[in-house]
Amino acid sequence: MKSYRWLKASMLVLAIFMVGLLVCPQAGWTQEKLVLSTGSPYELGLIDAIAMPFEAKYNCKVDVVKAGSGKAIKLLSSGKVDVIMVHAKKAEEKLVKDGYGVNRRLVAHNDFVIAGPKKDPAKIKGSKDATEAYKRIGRSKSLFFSRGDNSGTHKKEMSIWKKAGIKPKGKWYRTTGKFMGATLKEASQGQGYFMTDRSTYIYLSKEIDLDILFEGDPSLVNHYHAIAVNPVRYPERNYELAVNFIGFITSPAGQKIIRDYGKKEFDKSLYFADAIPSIQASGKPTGTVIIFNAGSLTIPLAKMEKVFEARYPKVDIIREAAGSRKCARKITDLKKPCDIMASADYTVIDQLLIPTYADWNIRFATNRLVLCYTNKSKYAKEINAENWYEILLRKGVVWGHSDPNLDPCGYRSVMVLQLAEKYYEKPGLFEKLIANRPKENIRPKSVELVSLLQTGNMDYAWEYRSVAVQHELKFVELPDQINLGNYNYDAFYKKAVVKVTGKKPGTFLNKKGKSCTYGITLLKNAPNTQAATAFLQYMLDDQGGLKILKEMGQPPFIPCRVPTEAMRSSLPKPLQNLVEVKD
Amino acid sequence: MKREPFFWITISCGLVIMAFILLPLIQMMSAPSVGMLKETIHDKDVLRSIRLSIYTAGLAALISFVLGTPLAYLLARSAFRGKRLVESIIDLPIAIPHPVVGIAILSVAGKNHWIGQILSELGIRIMGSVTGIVTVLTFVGLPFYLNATKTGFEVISPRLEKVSRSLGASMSSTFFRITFPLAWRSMLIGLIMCCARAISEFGAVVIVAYHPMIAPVMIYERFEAYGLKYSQPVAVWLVSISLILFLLLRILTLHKVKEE
Repeated sequence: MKSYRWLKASMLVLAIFMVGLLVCPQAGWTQEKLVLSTGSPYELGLIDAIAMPFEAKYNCKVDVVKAGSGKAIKLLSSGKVDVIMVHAKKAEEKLVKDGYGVNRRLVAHNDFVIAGPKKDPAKIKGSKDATEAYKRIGRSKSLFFSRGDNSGTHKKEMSIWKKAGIKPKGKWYRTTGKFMGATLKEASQGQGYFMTDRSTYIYLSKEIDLDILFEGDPSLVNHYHAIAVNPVRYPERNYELAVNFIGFITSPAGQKIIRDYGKKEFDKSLYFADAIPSIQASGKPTGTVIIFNAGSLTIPLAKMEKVFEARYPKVDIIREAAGSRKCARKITDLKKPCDIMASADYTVIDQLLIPTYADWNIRFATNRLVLCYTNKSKYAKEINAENWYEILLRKGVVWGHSDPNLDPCGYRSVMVLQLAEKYYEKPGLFEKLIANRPKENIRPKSVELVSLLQTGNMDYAWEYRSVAVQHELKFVELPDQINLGNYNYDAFYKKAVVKVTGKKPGTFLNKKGKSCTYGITLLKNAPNTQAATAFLQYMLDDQGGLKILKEMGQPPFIPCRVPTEAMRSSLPKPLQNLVEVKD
Repeated sequence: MKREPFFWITISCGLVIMAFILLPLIQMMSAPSVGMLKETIHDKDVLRSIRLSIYTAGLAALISFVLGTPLAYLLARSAFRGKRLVESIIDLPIAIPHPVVGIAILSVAGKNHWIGQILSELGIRIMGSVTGIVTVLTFVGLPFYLNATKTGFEVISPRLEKVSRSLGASMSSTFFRITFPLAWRSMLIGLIMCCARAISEFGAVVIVAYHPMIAPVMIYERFEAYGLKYSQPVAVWLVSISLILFLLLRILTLHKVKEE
């Protein structure tokens, strides 16, 4: 390996030397020079990969000053360099505002991950965000390495310690004062934790003995911007070449170099190219889009599929319906390829897919529970919104719901019964109702109850309103206070608590009542991000998919919602305008 | 001795097939840890579901035996108009997708059907009951028993029976004293096949009865609620227990052959 790299390097030197011999006499030694300052992108060789074609194109030479973001920004504001590539949002904005840097352009991104010993002594695996992971490290006083060099990485680290409420001091906290790669290697030798950027981790993965133990916090994304020196302030600097450089790295050719960098050697890209939105980069979407969806979304999605495929004839939508949790299991356990996952309970995406498999979760529609029946159901002529629970208590009436452990519709049905006891002020009603519903009347999925109704094996079944409308069943609408459809009653819904099975057999967790809210996400390793984004763009539009949902008895959110601004900014660009930030 | 190429073709095809069947199974069987397996077998729900699986599959085999034997005998011994049709009807349950079987049985058992109405008046419930499970398993297992037994009867020469009849034995005593002792081995194989088919059925059962849970339904439930890690041990136990049962049956029958 090592010798191979030497060979490569020496051949490179030789090649440059020979090209130099050919070019220099003609250029008459008037070659221009660009001074660039950046950190990891240079350390990991990305700048070399870009500089070569750039130098050839503009007949110039690129000099690199290796510096972390903090130092690079200082170099630019003191006129020592022509252009920088950094990741320190606030400092960059200040740099531009104060008139030291101009032409700030987004180039690429990578993200921070926390690497640590395989045994994970602080048990940071499964932390819900970076702050929690830091808390666990700080509290257990596990060995942690820090660059301590005021770089972007170091600044980020300090801001997380501050959020975690921990002063990083003591034997467990070791400062190296070195660069990313060197510190990562030291952390590996000392078997301690270190927050590194993913690119460096991939680059050194063969030399270090640490695992990625935490990843996926959206606040850990590093956006690299290129900024040119202000030519008015420092006319002696090579502004023109700096702008040419920014132009080059944000051009399709430059972006391709970034996108491909690392693929050959490490099987993965080290950086994600961001300058050009992908849809524009490669034309109209094609190929298949795989959607895993909650059973209750099957019919509206089928209709959306038709409309969308008519609009994009080269795209084929493939849908797989199952309970929302099962959909997630297919992704997390069976590793089945999937582009989009739509859940009848948006918390399933939060709990099972974020952060490892997805970054964000858009809430796009609501639903509510109704009691379905047919003409042939017992007492079908009598039932109404006032007496429904009396009829469910009668002997010989067969009614059921889906399995609370497998299907959100199942535990929600049970919640409605609990809420009914409180709302109608009839103590003991819930127990009595459940006593008249033998276990045999439970099915895995709520949609399966429909066929039991239609074949006359069951008299009444709890369903989402949308399912009732789509299957043309008769149904009793319940008061808003108990139907879990109106989020203004969330405070009351919360009083219903259902015990469902936890992550292991024999463990349980409590589900609290909450209005039915549908969530959708695009998987991180989606095989066809481009076409999937196009589908989401259609689906989350109030004139597109949302309109269809409305017709099918499923009130949509117009516009759709995400909980935080940070999540909104992590959405694919075309989707950002379709959502509002609302908790 | 030099082997012909054909010999090597048969050997290599055989190896490919063995690997094809065994590799995924071995992978699944070896995935759960011993601790998990122990924990799982102490789980009452798991035990109950495996017991129910064996019980209902056995019952289905028994019903197939009682109802199927005379029909198999009839088909083996006599030629009549429409025999082909009867035979293809018997094969139908093999060809129908499993969930369709469940839906079909439910649609007959519901109140919208006169049979369902009679059943409900008699107090017999198909949906979500052991009766329902046995009905489904019999439906899917019957063809395997019938076909195996029919073949068994066909290889017994009718002459033997004719001799018996000519010596004055009645038809029933001929069957029990001549035909049955000669055909019981293929009937046993038929029973094993029927049982094996029944114990593996999932698609039709889950539609008719989710609770009480047979083992394949429990595997599915475990997978959905807890993931692969917790469904595999149940699967391993089901597969091992049924494997042992069938092996025992086979060994028993082989043993008898040697004695004879």
